[in-house]
Amino acid sequence: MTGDYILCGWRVRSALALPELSLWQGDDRNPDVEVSFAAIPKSQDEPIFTLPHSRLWANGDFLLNLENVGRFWVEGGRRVLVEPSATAQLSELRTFLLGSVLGVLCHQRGLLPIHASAVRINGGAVLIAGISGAGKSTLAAALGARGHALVTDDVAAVDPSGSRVLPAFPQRKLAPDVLEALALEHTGLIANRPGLPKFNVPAPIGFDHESLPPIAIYILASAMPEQSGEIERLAHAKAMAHLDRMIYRRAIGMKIQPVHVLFKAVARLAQAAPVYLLPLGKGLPLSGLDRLAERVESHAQQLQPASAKSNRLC
Amino acid sequence: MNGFYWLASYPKSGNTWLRLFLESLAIGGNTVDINALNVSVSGGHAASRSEFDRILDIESADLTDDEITLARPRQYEIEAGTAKSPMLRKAHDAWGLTPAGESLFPPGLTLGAVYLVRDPRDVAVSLSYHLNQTVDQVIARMGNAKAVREMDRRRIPRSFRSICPVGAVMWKAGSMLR
Repeated sequence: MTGDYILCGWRVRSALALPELSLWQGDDRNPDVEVSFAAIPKSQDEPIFTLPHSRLWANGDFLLNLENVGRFWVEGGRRVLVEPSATAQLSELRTFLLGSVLGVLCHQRGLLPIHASAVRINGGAVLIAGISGAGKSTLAAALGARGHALVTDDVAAVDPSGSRVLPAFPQRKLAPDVLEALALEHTGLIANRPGLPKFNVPAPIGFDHESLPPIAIYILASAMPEQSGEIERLAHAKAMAHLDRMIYRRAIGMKIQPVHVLFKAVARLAQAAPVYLLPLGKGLPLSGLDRLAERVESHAQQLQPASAKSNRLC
Repeated sequence: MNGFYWLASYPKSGNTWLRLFLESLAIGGNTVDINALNVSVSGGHAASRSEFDRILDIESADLTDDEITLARPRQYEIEAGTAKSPMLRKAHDAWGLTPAGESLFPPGLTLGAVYLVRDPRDVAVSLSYHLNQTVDQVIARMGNAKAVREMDRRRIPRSFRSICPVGAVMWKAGSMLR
């Protein structure tokens, strides 16, 4: 019933089958994270922060509550309790476990989760960051079609020194029109939620669990058509401001991690890898998708991993 | 606690022009850049996905339409709870109720609403250009009370599938204004 998997380098023991993850093949350490089905404990204290779907307590305990899916309790960066709703499908549980819950685990473990997909180029991670719907997964998939292995989709866990990106799992969420544009097989795919037009698409080729240095971060930004085109390198302070907005589960994370700790992690990431603005006009153009991927590819291929340079940040 | 002025209209009825006028007014009648609306002055879109995701710290892409609609009044409450001044929001939604039976645009947070009405014959021409559809296709769409806004070519648009039947007269009926 249970299985041990690898996720962001952690040994994850999960009562919920997670077919999108690889089985743990590392040492015989104790699990870093345990996922089990259980009734969520009733907390005596009042939460310090409440959102419609989220509750956070002073000690960092977190509850995600989705009426039609279930409740997820996340504690200490190690323990996840899942209480499914009566109608929940297992795939829906996985959508939130490998989304919001993963983001909260990162914050509880002192990592910096960035709202980004990433592919491997020149032995480093190229991050594609952006707000929801900006086209992160789409551009990463287009880079995948050009032969670059996926590192992570949607959430990029970065260690607080900014020097390593931790690969998550080889699957991305893509819309039907993107599948069509990239000539990817549609049959047999499972949606992130039944009826929603986003499908979980495996990308196993070349996926590797070793952490890798970030070599570039591209932030997808909407812009007026006449401004689109030029990839703009952001100066350090501006890069930090943009990256700060790209922190995944930011509102909750800012209450789990001390603000100065997140600030430092963002500063280090902005130092470790150049941050670029990729202006896209009114969204990502599916017709010119491969051309855009080719431009990003040739731009990124000129860059070297930071480990090859001197690292002066202390 | 602050609140909202809703700028409600069927698409292509001059909503953005109105926001530009308001932005100019806010800066003493000076010229504004029509290609760079300053949303901090003239307000964003009430159905903006990125604002929903940012404020509620969740992925709307993982939520059903009903789940999103249920949470939208909560988003407005959080915004109103922290705003220092009244806010403007553009809306293409018809005024209506969430699946839980509460107002999508909470009366308690509503300072006022401007309902823009443009001659539907002009809207049809403008919308036909906007959607790259024939005028007849557009007229059929305008007459469909259940039509939702799917103007973006991408399946997950930047804003939610706001409901915008011509019967947005519910804004005029004004049970939201208390």
